[in-house]
Amino acid sequence: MNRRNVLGRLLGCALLPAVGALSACFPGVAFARQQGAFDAKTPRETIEKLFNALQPEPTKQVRIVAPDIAENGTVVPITIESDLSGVESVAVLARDNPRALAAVAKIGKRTAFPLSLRVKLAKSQDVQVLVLAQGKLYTASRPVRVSVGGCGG
Amino acid sequence: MADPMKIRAALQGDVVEVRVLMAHEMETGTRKDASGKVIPAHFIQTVSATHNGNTVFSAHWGPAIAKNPFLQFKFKGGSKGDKVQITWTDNQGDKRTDEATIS
Repeated sequence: MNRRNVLGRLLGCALLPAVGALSACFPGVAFARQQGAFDAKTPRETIEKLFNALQPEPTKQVRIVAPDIAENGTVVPITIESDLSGVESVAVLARDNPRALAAVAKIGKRTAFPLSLRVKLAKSQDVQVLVLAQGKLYTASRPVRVSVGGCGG
Repeated sequence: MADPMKIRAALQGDVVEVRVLMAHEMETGTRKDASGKVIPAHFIQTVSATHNGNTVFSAHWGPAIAKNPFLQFKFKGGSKGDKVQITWTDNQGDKRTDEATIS
């Protein structure tokens, strides 16, 4: 985060009403819903809504544990591990679902990895995890093959 | 009111591992019933966990979370006998809070 960036955000905070202000100051965290990130259809749009202009940087310090082949797309277990310090939030994207965003979690000082959940996958696709740590955005993804899709249709 | 959650919280070294199983349809809003009518979306939108009144985990979910959601996370600073509370709210305004004792 550079100085210009911070100034821009502070300005944004001053201009927006109370609720909007918070989401402008802390991209991604618990304000995903107000920003419409859950309605975004493409991964790119989702990332923009969640993390503004931050560019995700691939990292090996975030690992995704998931089955290579999921027989049933309605229940796919995902476990996220991270060695990064100062993690602020984690987003889980199913890139080819009708709506890419599955979950956004806020990671506090006391929260620790691993994090596990179960997602629905519409078809074979990459599961992408985005981690915001110390103002930088990191990403990892993992392909999962799905035999029976999980979004109905 | 939805069925209670199953919560397990266990101290492992200096971190508490929390596992939660919630009972919820997690209907996506894209499926159709036998007569071709769209089944309205019904899914958990927010989940949070508190320990001694402090939030130790919180998340926003979309309909892509699987039915009867499972969640596992860890947090620091808990001790045996403490209570962990989990709360969820869904998009139809339903809400549920359950608690477990750290073992």
